[in-house]
Amino acid sequence: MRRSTVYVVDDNAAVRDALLTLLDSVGIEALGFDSGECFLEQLNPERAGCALLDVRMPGICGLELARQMRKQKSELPIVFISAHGDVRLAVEAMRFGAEDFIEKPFRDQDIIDRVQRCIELDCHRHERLRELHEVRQRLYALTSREQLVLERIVRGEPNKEVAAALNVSTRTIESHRAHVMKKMRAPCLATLVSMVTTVQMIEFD
Amino acid sequence: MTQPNTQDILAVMSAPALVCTAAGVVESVNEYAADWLETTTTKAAGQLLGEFLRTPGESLTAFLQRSQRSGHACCKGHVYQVANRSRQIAMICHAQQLQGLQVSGHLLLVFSNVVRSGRDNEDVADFLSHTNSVPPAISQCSATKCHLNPSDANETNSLSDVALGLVHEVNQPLTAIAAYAHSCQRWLSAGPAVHPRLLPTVDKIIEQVHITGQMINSLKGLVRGHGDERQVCDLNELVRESLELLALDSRLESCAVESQLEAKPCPVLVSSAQIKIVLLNLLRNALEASLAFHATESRLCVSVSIEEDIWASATINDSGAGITAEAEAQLFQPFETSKPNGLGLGLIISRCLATAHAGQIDYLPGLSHGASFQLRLPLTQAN
Repeated sequence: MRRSTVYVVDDNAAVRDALLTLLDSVGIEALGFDSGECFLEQLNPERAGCALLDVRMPGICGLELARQMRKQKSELPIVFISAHGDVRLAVEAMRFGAEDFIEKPFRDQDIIDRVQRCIELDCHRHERLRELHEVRQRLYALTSREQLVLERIVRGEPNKEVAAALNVSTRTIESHRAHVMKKMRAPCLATLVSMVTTVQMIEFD
Repeated sequence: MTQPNTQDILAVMSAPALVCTAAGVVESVNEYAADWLETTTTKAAGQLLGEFLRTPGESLTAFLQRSQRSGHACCKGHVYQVANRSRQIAMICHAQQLQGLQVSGHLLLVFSNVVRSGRDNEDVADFLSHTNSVPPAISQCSATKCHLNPSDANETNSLSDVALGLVHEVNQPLTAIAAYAHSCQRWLSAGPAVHPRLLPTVDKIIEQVHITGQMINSLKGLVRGHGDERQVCDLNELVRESLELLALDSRLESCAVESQLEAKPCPVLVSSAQIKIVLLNLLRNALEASLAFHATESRLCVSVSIEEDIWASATINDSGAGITAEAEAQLFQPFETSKPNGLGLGLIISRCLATAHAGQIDYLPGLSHGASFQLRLPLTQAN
């Protein structure tokens, strides 16, 4: 698993320290912040992990903090902790994209399990992002001619049609096609199609 | 300043004073507050409060002593117990998921300058805007509240607020204790070698236990001790004053109130603040039950009478759905409630307060519609 950081944001010093101690006792790397403002400054989008946010804090409250994180395009999984959970608050939290909602005081295993699940989720997300980034790099490395060919073959056009449309011989297209497959590191057409559509989908967002 | 906030604050009633600081320390400030109220004018109070809010380091107790020394003229009757309000506003804010009152080391907003009628919203708004400029988080807190919860403005029940606030406060050290203890458990089960953080962590646990103890002791002070100064009061008068406090609740506009006071005085030896807590709690329950059942033709009726020459009783009838046999069995059980946002502590605390006065609270069954609750207190000699 890649290195990860858990961010603990709670204005209550004792609770914050205790949570850091607990996470440390199971070897989870964690950082504590006494306010949402400090946390937002330190937030590193490159790093996988999760955020444990207290719902009530002076200044930016937990829910508002989650909103601002999403606004800053941080997709860090969020677990809310609250001294008294009520349904309305939990619903609100889920609307802000929280993974979970835990009531204080909590069982250690509960919070550790959730934190670990979130870290795993986030590691997967980072892994996918990395793969996507690589595919994109490979796409950009294609020559403009190869990109034209790629566009048509992922649409399912046979070599012959592509050749006719681009006004070259089928042999030339076959050669381009082989280059595309090699440069994109795609073992078959199906993989190539899936790579291209994933990138397009993300870029469309 | 929007209407719900003002209404919310106005709906707060007086109770023994308890102020939570950011560190979770609970201070009792009743005596100072009472003296302070006797000796300040509304205007001077406003100025002093402004000063206070601008002085981050000063504790409320020190502030009250200081203002007492400066000896302002009397504004008795114009300001409710100042410290109570500060605490209760803090509690309401807690209860309503609000932030921002832990400004400059104090979890409090001292609120005075409310004229007795309580209807003078302009005054209140003016005062609040003044305080807003001092701790910015307070205005933020008002804004958050409107954003989160416009419909909840009227659902404040001060007993529940107090209890809810305390639940929240006590939960913090408990959470810390649990997490520290679990860490120790892990270190201990890892092997015979003593983990270097073990002892410091145990120290932290002990410290948190003490903090929790302090909070619980202060909670005891809420019911006994401070605010317990008893004097002979007329139950008629207490009911009248409680109705006045209830009138600050905007929901009362859609509910007819009928009161039948006893023609003779009904002297009882009580802490008026505590009995008003009880009465207001019963009245609010009745109001909520009536409105929940029949929003347009709600009615509540309060009567005061003398029974058997030894009891002064206040009976409150509502036009609600009534109480089922099942619910009746649960009435005085803690954390049993029929209200969507209730905590189920109001009747318990009320009964404790009544018992502390050698009185009692009973549900009177057998009504054809609605429910009826009665507070009985022993009559005393008028002085």
